[in-house]
Amino acid sequence: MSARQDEFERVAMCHMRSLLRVARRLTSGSSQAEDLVQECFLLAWRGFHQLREGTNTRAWLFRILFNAFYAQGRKRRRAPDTVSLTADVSAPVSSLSRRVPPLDESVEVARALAALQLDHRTVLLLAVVEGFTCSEIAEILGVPVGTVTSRLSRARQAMRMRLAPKAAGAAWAGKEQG
Amino acid sequence: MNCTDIWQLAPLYLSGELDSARTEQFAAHLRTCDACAREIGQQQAFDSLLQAGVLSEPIDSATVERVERAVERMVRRSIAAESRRRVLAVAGIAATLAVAAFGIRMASRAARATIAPIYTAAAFDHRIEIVDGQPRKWFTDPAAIEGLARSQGIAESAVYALAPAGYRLAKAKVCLLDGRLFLHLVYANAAGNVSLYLRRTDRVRSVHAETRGKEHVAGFQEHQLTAVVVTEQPGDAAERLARTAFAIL
Ligand SMILES: [Zn+2]
Repeated sequence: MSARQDEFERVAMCHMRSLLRVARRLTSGSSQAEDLVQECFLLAWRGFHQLREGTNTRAWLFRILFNAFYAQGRKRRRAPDTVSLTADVSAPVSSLSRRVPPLDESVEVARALAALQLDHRTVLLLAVVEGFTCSEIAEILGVPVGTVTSRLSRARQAMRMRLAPKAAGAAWAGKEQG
Repeated sequence: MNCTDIWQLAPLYLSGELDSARTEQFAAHLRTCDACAREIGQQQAFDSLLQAGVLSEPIDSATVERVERAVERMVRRSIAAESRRRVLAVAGIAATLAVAAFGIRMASRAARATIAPIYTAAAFDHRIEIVDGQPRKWFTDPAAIEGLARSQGIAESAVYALAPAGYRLAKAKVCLLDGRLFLHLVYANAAGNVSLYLRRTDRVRSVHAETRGKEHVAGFQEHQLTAVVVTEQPGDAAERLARTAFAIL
């Protein structure tokens, strides 16, 4: 194994779980998610020699993941914008339920997340689950920071509308237009 | 800050991206506005719920290992394809390196016309200076050889990096091939000698290989270097050295 491969394992492959976790919720099946992550790592490997020291490798990998995802969508012209509830939730949850009975709450969350439109689901996953900052997300998705923050606000509202309709945004009704 | 500012800045507040002054203004508004305070509190609570919900679904190790293995396979294939591409890209003609011991059947006419004189000169130079051993002033001290390389615009590290496996750098001088100066490096082992002629160039041209009399010659030009390998050893030694040198460059 070359030194470059060693380095790649050390700084890139260690983010496999994060990427799978997000890819699984972008695509409509776990095999599609695995294919997407594989594609992501192949592209990452090809660009690895250009990676400058000090680059946020995790954000760089997610940027590649989303580029690959959108490229696939353009190729197929049928990327699921919203994923059907049964398709998205059944795969991860059923495979999980064989091991650990999940909390009702987390099933509800998974269902609500799966029902969100793609760009809302994307920013929530990146910000809330993966802990990226808004400027990192802007980099990853190739959009302005302002677009990220307004998507995040709307996504949070939408999520709460599904989980707790009464609690959602009564105080801020209409703010998103302002 | 008013309630609209809070709505707009909430994502940056929650991700900790507001500077300290604006964080303080944001917090001050929350202390005086119940509606916004409740809203931000709920957003934080839902964020925790979402995070816990998603993270509670484990990614099983079998999946991770399957993808890791697939990625490793792809990387290995990509490395193999990359080295093939490198050879082909500069070679221009797929099989030229492989015909080193057999002649020039596969070489393009253009490559023959421009490189052939250098090959003839290199083969002749190798015969009289190395095989016949006519007296010449050679540099054998490593530091002197490195200095000589630098004077020809060639990195001293290349002198060692290009040494074929099992050969040591024996000596070097500058010589004239077809009217152009080349750094002439000689690598030796018990079996014999290999001459490597290097010249800085700014043209890209294809690989070429052939036999001149008893000398087997193989060479290539990449973006900064013209390289010609000559050996009197039979078989594919010239080809192998050209291949290795090419992979290193
Ligand atoms: Zn307010």
